Amino acid sequence: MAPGSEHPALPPQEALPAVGQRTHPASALVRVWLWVAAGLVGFGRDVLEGGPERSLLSALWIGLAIVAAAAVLGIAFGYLSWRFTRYFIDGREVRVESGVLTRRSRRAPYERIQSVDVAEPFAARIFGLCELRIELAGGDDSRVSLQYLRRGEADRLRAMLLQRAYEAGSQALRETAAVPAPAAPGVAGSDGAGTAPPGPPPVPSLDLSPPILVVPPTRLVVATVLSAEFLTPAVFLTALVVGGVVFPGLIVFGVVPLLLWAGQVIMSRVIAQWGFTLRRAPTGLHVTRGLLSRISQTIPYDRVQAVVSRQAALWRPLHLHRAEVTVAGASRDSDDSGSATLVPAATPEEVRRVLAELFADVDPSAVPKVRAPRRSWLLAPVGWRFRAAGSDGHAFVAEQGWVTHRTDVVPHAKTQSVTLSQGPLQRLRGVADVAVHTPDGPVAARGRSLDAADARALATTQLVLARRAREALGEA
Amino acid sequence: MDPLFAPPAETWHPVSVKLRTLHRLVLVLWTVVPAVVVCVALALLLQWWWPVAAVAGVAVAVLVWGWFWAARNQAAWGFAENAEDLWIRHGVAWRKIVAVPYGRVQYVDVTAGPLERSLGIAKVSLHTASSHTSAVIPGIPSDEAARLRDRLTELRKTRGSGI
Repeated sequence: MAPGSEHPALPPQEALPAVGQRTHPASALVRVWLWVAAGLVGFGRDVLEGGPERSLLSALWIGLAIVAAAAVLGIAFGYLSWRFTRYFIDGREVRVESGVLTRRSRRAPYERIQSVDVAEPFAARIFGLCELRIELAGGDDSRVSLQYLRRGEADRLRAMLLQRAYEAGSQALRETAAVPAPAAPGVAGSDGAGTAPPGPPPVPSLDLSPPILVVPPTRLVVATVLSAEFLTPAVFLTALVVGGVVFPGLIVFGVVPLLLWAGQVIMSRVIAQWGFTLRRAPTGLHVTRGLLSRISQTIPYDRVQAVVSRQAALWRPLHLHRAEVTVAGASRDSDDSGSATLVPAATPEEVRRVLAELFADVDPSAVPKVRAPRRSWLLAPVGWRFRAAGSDGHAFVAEQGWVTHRTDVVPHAKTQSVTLSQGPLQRLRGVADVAVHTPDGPVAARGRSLDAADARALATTQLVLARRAREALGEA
Repeated sequence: MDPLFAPPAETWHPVSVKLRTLHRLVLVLWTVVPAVVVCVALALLLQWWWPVAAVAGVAVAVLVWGWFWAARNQAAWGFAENAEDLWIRHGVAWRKIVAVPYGRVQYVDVTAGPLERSLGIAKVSLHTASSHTSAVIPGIPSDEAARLRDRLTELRKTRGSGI
């Protein structure tokens, strides 16, 4: 490790000496803006409550004093927390120790490392720094992050940690499994414990591989403006403004939440997905995105459960699709922050290319599907035409929706359970629903109001196909 | 029997008839007690006899309907252990089958409230990695529930496959 160890007191865990290192000194300054913002809020309240008798100049001086005091406090706290934060990299784990009064120690053993990502939050970007995020398998509190490092240092650490995680993973695999690699290496979406195929570990490359998909910002903007998620608040907003001309006073109540709604959509669909680039990495698909905060995350191949592709009504002439993934163990709020997004907006050809990276043999358009029968119009007067489901040797595919088309794809090996259901109206029409369950996420594969015999056949074959797929992966 | 909800093997394994008793007990508790309270209050405080009759009538109607519903609901529950998966069916108007491969079961719960314990029955719930899997079998005799749990846990181990 780099010299400059300033903390020799810690006992080494293994033969390799533990080296305590500090993050970049400018880290102390990154969080200062929070304090300054708090100071500005305090100043604003002071001005509002101060009354009219105070002169503008004195108010400005007071404001300046408040903000300066906040900045000084911020720098002081930032310095203390930087001073008391160290990270250690030894032969077994990464450890981060922090806390001025209460000491905190976070450990990341190499064999539990799922992915190592470099993120650039906006505030850190200003200082040319970035954050190293280490995602761990299992547990609620499964992220260890180093705040903040220089880009070069972060990249170097990321490469090293990925290498060590890979070696630890393949070593564990060699120790536990006497069976030689059941799944051929390169079979994307392989299941179970064997995250890394055994064999000589290749050096995990950084972002050198050419991108699989780059989404141009103009397409992102056009797609978002035409999406139902944006148009709904936009239409309400226009209606409200038009109504406000007739009845003034109405506007005030409705505009703010609608603006917030539209703003949230623009944040998660445009700002957060700006410059979306998808690359192939050894452990998963590597995503870089974001205008203000650059985010770089990995969608691990072995944890991807299912994919849903959506097409809004107005996207059809442009041949655009959006795809999201269900990743096992992903946090529940992932949908809002846009981290479940696999493809923000792309042509069918591009979506197919990305899908082929995750599930080698799956082609949703080639899967034979049974359509909902005409008699099911009673349950969905327009939508019945768009409902279909089917399966081939590799995946279960369900289609539905007439305003926004959606196609849910579940590889057989990822099937958790299968449901058949029928309500009274459906019984009258001789139709039934079939659903294939996957872990929680954006995907919900349901064949709705299909012919009862078709639904039953789909459900029973699904159970057989899912079992075969699991056995083929050598998990039995 | 409707071919859509036919058992995967020969027959559905029924749940205990004590589930009826349980549902009826709960029903009586939740209709008779409030009805009596309301009727007494109306009669003593206000002496409105028509509303008293109406409340009593509604309570009796609910009781009669619930009595028969409990029987049909209990009869609709069933489960079948296949070689590879557990099938559960339930519902009279809204019918449903859930099929869970043994290898996908993460853990099995057996729960029994005070009423269920006094009747000697329990509820077995299967959990997979998907929270949409609502695989619950109520009204299993307690000893059988424990056996079912152990068997499912055993099968889970031999066919287990994580996520």
